[in-house]
Amino acid sequence: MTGARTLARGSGLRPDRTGIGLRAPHLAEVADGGAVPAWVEIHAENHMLSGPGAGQLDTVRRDRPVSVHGVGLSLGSAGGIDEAHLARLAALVARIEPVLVSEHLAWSVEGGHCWNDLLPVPRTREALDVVAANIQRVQERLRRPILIENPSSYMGFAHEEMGEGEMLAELVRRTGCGLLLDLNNVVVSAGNLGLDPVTEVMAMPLASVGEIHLAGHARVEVEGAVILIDDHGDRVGPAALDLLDLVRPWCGDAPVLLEWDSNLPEVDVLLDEAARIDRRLAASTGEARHAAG
Amino acid sequence: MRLAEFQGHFAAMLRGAPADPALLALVRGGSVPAGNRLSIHRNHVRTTLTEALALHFPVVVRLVGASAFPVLARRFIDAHPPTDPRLALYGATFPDFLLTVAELAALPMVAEVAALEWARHRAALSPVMPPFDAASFAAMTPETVAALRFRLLPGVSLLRAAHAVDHIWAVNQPGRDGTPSRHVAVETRLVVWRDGGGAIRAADLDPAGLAFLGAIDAAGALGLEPALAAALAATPEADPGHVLARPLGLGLLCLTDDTTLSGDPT
Repeated sequence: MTGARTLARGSGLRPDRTGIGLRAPHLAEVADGGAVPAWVEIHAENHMLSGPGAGQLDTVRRDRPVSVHGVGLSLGSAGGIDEAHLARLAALVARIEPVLVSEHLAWSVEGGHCWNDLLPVPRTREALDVVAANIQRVQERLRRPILIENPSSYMGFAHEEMGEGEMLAELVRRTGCGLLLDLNNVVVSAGNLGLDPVTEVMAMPLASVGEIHLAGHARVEVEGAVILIDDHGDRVGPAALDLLDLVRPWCGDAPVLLEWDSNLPEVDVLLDEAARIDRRLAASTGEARHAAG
Repeated sequence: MRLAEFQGHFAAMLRGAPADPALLALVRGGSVPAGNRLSIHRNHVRTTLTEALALHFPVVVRLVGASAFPVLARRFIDAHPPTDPRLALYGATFPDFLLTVAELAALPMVAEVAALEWARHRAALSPVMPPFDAASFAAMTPETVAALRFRLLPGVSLLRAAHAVDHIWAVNQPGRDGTPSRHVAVETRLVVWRDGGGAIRAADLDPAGLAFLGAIDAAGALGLEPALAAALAATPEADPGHVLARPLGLGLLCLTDDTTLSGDPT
């Protein structure tokens, strides 16, 4: 078992209880105990200002496991990591003591501007060196390993030198980070690039998965062609759940998290969807046991 | 293409420039043209930043209209992309930008209301800190008072406007039809802050009160004597006791770290 697989040990996370992404409209309800998710994940950048919401987050952390998911660190930036932003993340991590810390294989910072998007990193050997160095810097500053999420892709690049699974496996090998396996992103990327999602997911370093993300996506038509948009705006689609069944035996006890961002419904809908995923997990675990017996 | 060059081309496209031919030549992905694939990211950036601005400036949306707002937002976003990864901080310069919009020249209150909305937003995000209150002040010796250096509490903003922006803001809240119940072309001086109960509040200031708080704000930290001198310069007949009592009563002030209550006989 790799180090990444044991990231969440002793954390209170359970592999059979799906957590939810905790967004601002639901923060007070979860803090007050009006909604009781098994665990939650916050976007780091939404909690770096110490307004009155900080007390609510502290209450949530007291009552259940919290994971910190960064969206603005820009691990893929050729210019390196913004130390001021890394210091903000370090302060949040020190305050919350999250069970997991994660970021994306993406970039968002260039020339002093911070784009609110997860932009594509061409999979070249140069980019691999850049991302590995940036991950190492982050882990050194936080004094803990982080998880790296596979992105949702809308394009490939002619000068790419490796596949996504290969690049992520090499990042795990070089830095000791783990993989945050986003199964919806696998479905979206494969759909947009004409790839087979099963082949893509099985090429991932599955032994190093420390967390699994699930979400819904949108289908839009662009000049007659369908593009899948990773908008986290719906229930989890069947393709992502099928991949969950597939990878579960390889991912050990990695906890599962439901993300929902656009068209955000009441928190009860998220908890209902998390319970549906739990039932799916129980069924696939039961089938695996049955097959083994 | 090296990563830095790739990211430079990509960011230029996000800022609104046509996609560089070298970047377009690299993009792969089936039947959807490269430019359309790049546009997915540009549209996402613009849409989410427009939504963030609409969230931070809901009364401006109402004043200019839901169809004109995205046009203004697009111009602002292209000219002033975010410089901080925390989306909640995006829009600090939007009120100043609105002052430069030719189509709004006849509606100067729009930029003024935007400044009020940003002040309220900033107050909501500011760190929680107890104010220095009147009871603490009353217990001090004159020597201690003379050594104090005041700061504005985090999140306190001072505003001057040519219109009753607080009234315009109030009548444009959800459930109100936006019709003012009084004359709005009135010079207005406001202080905006978050009170101890977490409510965002705005209160009128007289010229002496604005000068007192403005002197502290401009200096970052200031002793009582020069702050009162600024108030009296603005209004020679002002009562210094009243000038000080109001901000203490509202809870607008705190002390700098180097002026503690250690000299306080209590």
